Amino acid sequence: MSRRGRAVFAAIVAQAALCTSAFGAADEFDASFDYLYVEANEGSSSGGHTAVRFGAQSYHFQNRDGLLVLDREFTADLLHDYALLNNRTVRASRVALREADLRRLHDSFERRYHRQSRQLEVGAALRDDLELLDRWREGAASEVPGLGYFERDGTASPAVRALRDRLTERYGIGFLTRRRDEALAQLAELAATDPAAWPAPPPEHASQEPPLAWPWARRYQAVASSVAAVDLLHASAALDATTLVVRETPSGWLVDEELRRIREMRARLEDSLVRLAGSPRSDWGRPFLVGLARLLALDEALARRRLVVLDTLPADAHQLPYRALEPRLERIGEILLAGHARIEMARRDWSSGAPGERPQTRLEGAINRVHELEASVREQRALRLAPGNRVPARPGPSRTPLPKLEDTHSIDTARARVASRIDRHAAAMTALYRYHLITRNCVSELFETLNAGLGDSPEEVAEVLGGHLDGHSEFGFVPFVSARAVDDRFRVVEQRVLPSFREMQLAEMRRHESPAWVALRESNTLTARSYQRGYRDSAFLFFTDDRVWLRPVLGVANLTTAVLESLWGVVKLPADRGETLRAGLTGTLVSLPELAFFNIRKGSNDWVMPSGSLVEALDRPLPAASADATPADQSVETELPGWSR
Amino acid sequence: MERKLATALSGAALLLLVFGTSACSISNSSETLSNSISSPFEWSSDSSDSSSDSSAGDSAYRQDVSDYTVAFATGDGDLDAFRSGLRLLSERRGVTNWEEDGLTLASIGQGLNEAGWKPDAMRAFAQELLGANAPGLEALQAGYASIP
Repeated sequence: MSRRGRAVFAAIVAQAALCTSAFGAADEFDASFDYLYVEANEGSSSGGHTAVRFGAQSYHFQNRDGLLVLDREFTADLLHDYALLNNRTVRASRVALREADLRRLHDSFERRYHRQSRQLEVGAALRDDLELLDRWREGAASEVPGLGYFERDGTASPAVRALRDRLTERYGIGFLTRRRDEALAQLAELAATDPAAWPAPPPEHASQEPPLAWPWARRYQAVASSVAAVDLLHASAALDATTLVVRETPSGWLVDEELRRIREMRARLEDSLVRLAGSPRSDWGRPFLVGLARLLALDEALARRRLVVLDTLPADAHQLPYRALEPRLERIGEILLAGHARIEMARRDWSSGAPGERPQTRLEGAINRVHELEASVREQRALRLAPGNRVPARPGPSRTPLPKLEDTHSIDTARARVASRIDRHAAAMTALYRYHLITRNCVSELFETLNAGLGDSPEEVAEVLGGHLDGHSEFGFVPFVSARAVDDRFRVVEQRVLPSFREMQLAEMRRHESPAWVALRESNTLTARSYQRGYRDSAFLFFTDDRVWLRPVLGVANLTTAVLESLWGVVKLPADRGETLRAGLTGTLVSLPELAFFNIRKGSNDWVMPSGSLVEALDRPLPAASADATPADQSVETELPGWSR
Repeated sequence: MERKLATALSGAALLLLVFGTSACSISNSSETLSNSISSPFEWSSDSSDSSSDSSAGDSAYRQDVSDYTVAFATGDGDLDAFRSGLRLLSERRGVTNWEEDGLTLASIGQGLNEAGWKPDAMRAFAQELLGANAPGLEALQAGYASIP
């Protein structure tokens, strides 16, 4: 990002209209939620998008592999994703209602989210069953999560031996062997069990709760981890040093106070491992392996006086090719600076002695991501991406042969049954949730969930919300039409507009420079300082989102640019595996609507520092609107903390 | 006026159809450079300066575990199945050993209360779930008692 870009960070929440309607005056409506309409952009939702916000949490339906899935996100993340990274203006319509009705609505989304998540989880578990059978068929050793952090041979670890002695002292001689025998007996029983026996009925409706079950392959792997844990203790296996991430930089040096804290953490962790080994649960092995690996990583940190954590990035993580990073090295420098700040923040939390495992997980995540990006740039290799909380789980092959089906015919028979279950479950999920542009999309399902939460009766829904919408009739399935319908029909007491990141930058530029000059310079991708082509953006020349009447003319230029890029993409096809051609064709497609005064494309940003201020800006009380006020008069500016460094 | 609006909307809808655009977001958030360092989740919510977001994260997790516990307590799943689901939930929250996590245990207690379990049944269940893990039993019972 340019220096100019860094200096420009003001979020402008424009009050498009402050409605003081008859609805708003009523005191009985003591609560509210926001209906969010996200403007279109190329790529993931070129027709626009919608969400419902209940305070810090928002719910929206996304198309995931053809299924319409309800996602729950923090509102801050949703706004960061759409307004900042994807340059989309977000319009919020605040709907007033009674507190009790708000709870009913929120519960409706929660219920649907949980039930669908569990239904999807059943599908994932069925696929795990098939994968385990496939491994057996190939004769491959069972992979145990967490075991990959330890050496298979080599010198014994005194720390592991000491822990084993402590367990023997606590639970008696023969305790570990008994646990191992119990686990092996369970595995033998599981291997002889029909993998298709656990209850996984295909869902018949969205509100169906799947039966609580421990899926076959997952049970097998969990019990196998207990065998692996005992084997590891018996062998006093040492940590595999290649699975550690060590901060060799000066900032990775640990001070005396941190060392003292680490010793305390180590003692607490060892105590918890002793309790875990004696736990009645049969899946104790997996967390034990991870905990033991962390214990040994703390020993390394103490020995080296450096920050040391486990490598938590999975081998099969999605990868960004190096050629996508190379043109963005300046941006990556900024990301790394932010990453280092993130490490320091996590480190303070971690070394402050805060209880629980999460400070450790956060520190591991922060260090791993910075380390991966540094290594990727240094070694000019693909970057492994791993969003979200990543607990250590590096798998390793079991040290001892485990009971399994040996007979190929039996495996094939079981495999056929499991495959059939997968097909039936997938078909049921498709029937329930298949995405359809018109009949089942993010708008229609949002209203269905809203209405279901209020009893489905149009009269009752209208009484609660001020009106009834079904997301189907009168083009109600189109996101921007739905937003207009919400404003017209529901009890909307406030409307706010959160501008896209590019709009925020332009507004700030206009405060310091000639507006005409800014308009000219920022009108195109060649001279704009508010835009650097995003990794997944198509080729285009002019921005058309703020120039309605010029759209057809600029659209022709964009179309020509995209066609030329497509032709260049054909030439480059063998070298870039069609990436340039894809960008050119996409550019062609999204340029066409511009010829008819319709804008989709806004450009996107690879990286923008997130800020919780976006949410705060949406909730900040607006100044009282005067009768002749215009939206510009009522704008509120908010500095985004954490943006300017 | 309405006719004009309808015509405009029809045009927009037709454009959507003709150009094959997709209303609704496609979930592929793992493919962005932004995720190279951290997911938005961790940056803006999980560890931001805003304690309200962090507390919202705890609140959502508490609700998830409590809701899951209610589903178990009112259904016919076995204890191992319950533990298996807990592992999935807690790992998403960055916790591998939920038996040592106070928030998880308190949320289980809340769920049992919400499901209408009597104190005796709750205590017997907690014993079966956690064995001799005294701090864990205490946290679960405190969660149960936190709902009047």
